[in-house]
Amino acid sequence: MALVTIDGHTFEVPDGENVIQAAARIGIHIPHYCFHSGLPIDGNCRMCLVEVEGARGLQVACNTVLRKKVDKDGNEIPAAVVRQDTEQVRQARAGVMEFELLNHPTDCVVCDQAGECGLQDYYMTVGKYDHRSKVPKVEKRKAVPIGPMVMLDQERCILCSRCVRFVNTVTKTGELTIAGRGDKCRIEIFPGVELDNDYSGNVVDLCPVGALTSRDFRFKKRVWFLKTTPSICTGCSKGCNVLVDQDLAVVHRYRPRYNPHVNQWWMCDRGRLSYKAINDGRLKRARVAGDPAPWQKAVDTALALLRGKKFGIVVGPHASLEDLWMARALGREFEAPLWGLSWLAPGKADEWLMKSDLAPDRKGFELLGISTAEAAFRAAAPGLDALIALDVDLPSDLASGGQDAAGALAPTRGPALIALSTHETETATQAAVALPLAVAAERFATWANCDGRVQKGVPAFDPPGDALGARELLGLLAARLGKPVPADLEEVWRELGSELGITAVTFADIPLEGLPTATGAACAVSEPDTFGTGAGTIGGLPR
Amino acid sequence: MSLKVERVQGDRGVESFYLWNVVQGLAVTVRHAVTNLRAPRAVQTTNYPEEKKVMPPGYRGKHRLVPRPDGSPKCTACMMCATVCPARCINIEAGEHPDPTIEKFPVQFDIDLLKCVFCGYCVEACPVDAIRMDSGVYTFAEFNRSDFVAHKEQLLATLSQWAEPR
Ligand code: SF4
Ligand code: SF4
Ligand code: SF4
Ligand code: FES
Repeated sequence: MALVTIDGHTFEVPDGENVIQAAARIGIHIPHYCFHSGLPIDGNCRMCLVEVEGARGLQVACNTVLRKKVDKDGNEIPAAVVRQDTEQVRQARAGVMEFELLNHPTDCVVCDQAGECGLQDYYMTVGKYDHRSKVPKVEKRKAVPIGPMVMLDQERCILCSRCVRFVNTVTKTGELTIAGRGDKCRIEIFPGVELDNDYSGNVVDLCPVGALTSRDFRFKKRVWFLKTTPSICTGCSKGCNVLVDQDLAVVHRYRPRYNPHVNQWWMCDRGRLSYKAINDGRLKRARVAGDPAPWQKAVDTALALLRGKKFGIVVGPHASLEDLWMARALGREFEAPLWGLSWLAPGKADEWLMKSDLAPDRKGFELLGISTAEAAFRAAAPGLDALIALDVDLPSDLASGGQDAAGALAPTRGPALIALSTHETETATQAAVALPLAVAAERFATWANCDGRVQKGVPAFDPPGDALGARELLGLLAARLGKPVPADLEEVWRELGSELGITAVTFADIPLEGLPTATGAACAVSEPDTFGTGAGTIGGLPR
Repeated sequence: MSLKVERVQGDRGVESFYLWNVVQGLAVTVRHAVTNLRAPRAVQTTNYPEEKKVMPPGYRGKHRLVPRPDGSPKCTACMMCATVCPARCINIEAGEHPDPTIEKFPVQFDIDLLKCVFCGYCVEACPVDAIRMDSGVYTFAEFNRSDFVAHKEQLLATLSQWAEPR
C-alpha cells in the first residue's frame, strides 16, 4: 500500500496505482483520454495534468505511479501530494481541450458517439473556451470501413492511441498505426489488412471519441435513448459480463462490463453480435401441434400429456442454474429421468475468451449432477410417454419422431413432445405443445461459466408475448400436476446456493462480478489483469 | 381565517326573460348585415375554403422538411427533434448517405400529426434548420388515422406559405 494526498485528502491505495485510479477511489474524476486501466500507460493526451508537490510544472496524473514512500525516520509519507482543483490545472485542461478540438470537425449531428463522447463531456465540464483559430480545419478521410465491425473517421480522432495499443498489446495483431506528422497525423490501417481479429469490436468501446464507431450499431439509435442493464453474454461458456443496451424492449448492442475474474474490459465479436438472438426468431405465443394456441389451452394440453404418465426431461445448457435446479426437483418429485444435453455445433475457440462450447451453463450440469449421457437418453426415450424438452433443440431425428440408426423412437414422436423454447426452433415447431420461454436478458437468473463461476443477470425488460422464465413455468406445471415445488427465486437460491457451496448468500446478495463455486474455485481463472491494478472500474471514461 | 360568503342576486322579474338582451343582440346582427351589404369589401370573415388565410409569421402550422438545392432533405437524422418532442410523435430511421461528407440522412421521417401538440420544439431543436412549421397549413382532414402520419416525401413537398421563406 502507498499513501497519497489528493486535494488535501490523504488515503491509502495499492502500490502501483496511478493518480487517476487513486483519485477515483475518493470520487474525484481526473479528466483523461489516453489512459485506460487495461492498456499500457502512454501519457500522450495531456488531459490529466495535475499539480504534484515538488515537481517542476504540471505532471500527467496517469504516469504518476504511486509507490510506498518513507522518510529518513522510517515513517510512511505520501508518495505524492496532488492538487487538481487549482486555477492552473483548470487553465491547462481548457488549453488541452482547445488543442484537441483545433482540427476537430465537430460533426456531433451525425456522429454516433454523441451523448457518450469524451470531447463533448470534457468540453462542457472543463473546456468552454472560445475557438480562436482562423485557419481552416485539416480534412481527412471520413466513414472508412476498416473491418467488419469498425468504421473509422480520421477527422474525429484525437490520436490518443488507445486503439493502437489495444491491437499491439491485447490482441497482438497490430493492424492499426498512427501515420503522418503534425496535423496530418491520423489513424491508418496497414495496407492490405483489415481490422478483422476476433476482438476488434473492443476498439469501439475504447475510443473515447467518435473516430472508431461500430458498423453494426451505426445509426441504429442515439445513445441517450438506450437503457442499460447488467447481464451475461450467452454466446459461449465463458459468460463474459455485458451491459445490455435496449430501447423499447429491442436490444441494440452489447458492451463488455468490467469483471477482473472473467473478461476484464473486453469481449469477443461473436459474443458482441449475439444480442441479435434476443430480438429475432423468438417464440412468442404457445403452440399446440404446431399451430398457435392460447397459452392456457397449451398448458392444459401439456398437463393432459403429463398427468399420470411416465415422462422424462431433457434440458439444454442455455437454461439457468435455477432452471436446472427446478428441472431436477421436478424429476425427483415425479420420478422422471433427467438429462442435460445439447446438440449445438462447437464454435471457434482460442486461448483467451472464446470457448468452443457455445452455451452459457453447461457447467451447471456438472455442478448439479445432471446426467449428460446421450446414449442413455436415446435408449430410455422410446420407453417414455412424454418428453419435456427444456430450452434445447433436439436433433431432427428425435424432434420429428423419425427413426434414428438405433431404431424407433416412436413414443417421443409428435404428440408427446413438450417443448419449452425461447426461439422458433425445429423442436418447437414439431412438438405436441410448445410454450415460450424468456431469454437470459429478460430474467433474474444465474449461470455457471466454464470456470465454475456463478454469475447473475437482471432483466432488461419483460419477455415478449406469453413467454415466461423456465423456473416459473416448471413451478407452475408442478403445482398444476399436484406436487408443488418451491419456485420462488430466493427459495430456490437458499437450497441451490448451499448445494453449490455458496452459503449465506441470497440471490440479491450475489455481486455483479459473480462468485466462484466450491468446485469452480479450483478451476482455472483467467489471467489476472496485467496493466490494471484493481481499481479497474475506471475502464476508460465515465460512461 | 374565516370565509366571507356573499350572495349575488341574479336577474329577477321581467329581466329574467332576457327579452331586452335578445333585442340588443339582434340589433348587433342587423347592424353588421347592413354594413356588410353596403360595403362587401370590408367584410371581416374569409370565404373559406375558397379563400385561405395567410397566417401571421411565427404561426406553427404543418411541418415541412427543408430541402437541399438538389431536393433531398437537409435533415441529417440527428434525432434532436425526436428527442425533444414531448408527444413522441417523430419517428426517424437513419441511413448511410453515399456522400461521406453528408454521411447520415433520414431514410424514413414520419410525424404523427394526431399526436403532435404543435409546440414547435422540434423546429427550435434542429441544429441545421431542416424542419420548419411555416407552411401555414392548419387544416387537417383525412378518412383514416394512418393518413395523419406525414411521411418524408409529403413533408418535403410541403412548401412555406411565403414565396420567400423567412
Ligand atoms: S467525436 Fe464527439 S465531439 Fe466529435 S463529432 Fe463525435 S460526438 Fe461530436
Ligand atoms: S481512433 Fe480513437 S482510440 Fe484510436 S487514437 Fe484515435 S481517438 Fe484514440
Ligand atoms: S411540434 Fe412539438 S409535438 Fe409536434 S412534432 Fe414538433 S416537437 Fe413534436
Ligand atoms: S496523458 Fe494522462 S491520460 Fe492522457
